Amino acid sequence: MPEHAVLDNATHKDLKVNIQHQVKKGFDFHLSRVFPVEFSQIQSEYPIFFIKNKESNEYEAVCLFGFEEDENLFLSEEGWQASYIPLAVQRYPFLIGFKEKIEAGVPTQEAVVHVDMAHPSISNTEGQSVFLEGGGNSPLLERITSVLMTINQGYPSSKSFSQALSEFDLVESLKMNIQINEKASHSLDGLFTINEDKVRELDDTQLGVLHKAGYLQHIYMVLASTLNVNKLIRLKNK
Amino acid sequence: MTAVKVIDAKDFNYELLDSHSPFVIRGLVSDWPLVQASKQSDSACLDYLLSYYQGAPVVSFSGDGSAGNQFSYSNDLAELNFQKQSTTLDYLSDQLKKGLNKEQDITHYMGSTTLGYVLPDLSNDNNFEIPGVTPLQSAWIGNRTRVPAHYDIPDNLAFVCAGSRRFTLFPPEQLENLYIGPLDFTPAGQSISMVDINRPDYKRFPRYKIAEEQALIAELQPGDAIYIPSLWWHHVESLGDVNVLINYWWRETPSYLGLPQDALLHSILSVRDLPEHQKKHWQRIFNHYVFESKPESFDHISESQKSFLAPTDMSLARKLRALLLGNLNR
Repeated sequence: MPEHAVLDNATHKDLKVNIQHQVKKGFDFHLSRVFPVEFSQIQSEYPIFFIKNKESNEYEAVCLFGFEEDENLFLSEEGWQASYIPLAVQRYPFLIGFKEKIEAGVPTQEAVVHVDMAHPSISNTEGQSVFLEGGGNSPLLERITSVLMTINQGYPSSKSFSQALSEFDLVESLKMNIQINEKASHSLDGLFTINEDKVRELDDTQLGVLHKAGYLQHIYMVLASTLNVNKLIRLKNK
Repeated sequence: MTAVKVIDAKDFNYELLDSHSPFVIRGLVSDWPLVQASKQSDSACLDYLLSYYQGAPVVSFSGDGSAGNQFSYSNDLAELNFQKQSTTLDYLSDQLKKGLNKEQDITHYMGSTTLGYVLPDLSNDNNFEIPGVTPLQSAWIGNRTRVPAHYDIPDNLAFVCAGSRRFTLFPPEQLENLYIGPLDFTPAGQSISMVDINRPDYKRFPRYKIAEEQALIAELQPGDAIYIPSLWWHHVESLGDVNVLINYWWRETPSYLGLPQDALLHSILSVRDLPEHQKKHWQRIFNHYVFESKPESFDHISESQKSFLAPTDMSLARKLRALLLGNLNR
């Protein structure tokens, strides 16, 4: 059970974070949210698919780390086995929360850094300090803050990309049966992908609209990224 | 206690706003439609306000009136003596209408709320031009309430639009006689006097007698305005069933300058707890560079080398800000 707390330099004076990208250290998940701003780095390492958010009914881009719940094939004794780690994973054990702030009578939502005190990386003795001696922000916290801010800004761009995909009817449910080896196979349920044929059928005007918004590039990166499923199979068979 | 200087609207001129002493202007905005509506009736005034309202959520204070309708602290200072809630102007207006011509026990109050946010376009029809300044305009709406003495940093021109309002002002130098509460835990952002001026406890606050002698009082009616200079203490009591105030805040200094209250906190962090003899020296240094600083004090340094000692323009402000940001993070 996560234990979210607003991060502050008095309560969390001695807080340290000891990230270990190993099994059972708080990173045992098989997918993670990804944001358009990082698609170019993501597509060279992970397959990008979509899941459907049941509340908003919108597609959210995710990348795959494994074939079943809790399976993260990138974890190892030597750490994370890829050159780029998605923002939504980099943020651990921190997250963004919102606090109501009233300025000149106008209620606004202020983004504040929270920490999951139940995450295995939390420590008081090992790892990197979150705060400096005098209570200032450590380089770790400065970096995390920037990651969290990028994520926060990523939601609206993610949303508009997803809306464009729906508008042009480019998303389809993934029909992929993964043959791990001779004996085992996996069907990936609940995932969606972009239908390449439909992209090919777009007319010049439609392509122009998608290109101007930068979405055409996103679309091709998503399509290219699917080949990384083979990399996942290799890792699985290791 | 003496009365605040009062002038008539026809004698008002803008230079008076540079006087740095408070005064009341009778009937300065009597022609505002909002004031006209309130002269008709309290309900008409509320309906007039609502005709500009588009549903923005507002923050309202409500108390049980036990502390003489004052928004302050519980006796032990552990908490505030009122609730803050997010609500709508429609709800607030309903509450005020229910209390019309009745003994009220529950206080309702929407304090300084950006006018353009809560009542877009109201200022198109109810405006007072001050040449050369773009003020922050705010609305204040409530029933019988009291806001304890506090200061605001900007200069303030406040227009009473509905209900009578009693202002009790104290000159800035009455600071130590007003028994000011905590700096950080405050009812609405500014530190307040702990003295209930309607029934002062002289045993607990003996020096308040001195402040009381220096107090200036004014009672304003709809259409009247009061000028409260920057940093003057003011206790504000609204006396009607429905009270509406619009006020303008502006600073004479450019917005790129830092905030003096930040400098105060930084000095608490860095200077206050030094040994007495060092503090004395720092006082001299602060006087030299800040409080009594004169351009000619630095004539022995060539213009091009003055840097921090030259008057603060935007680029110097940015340089100082960057330096402080870096230095503070440790």
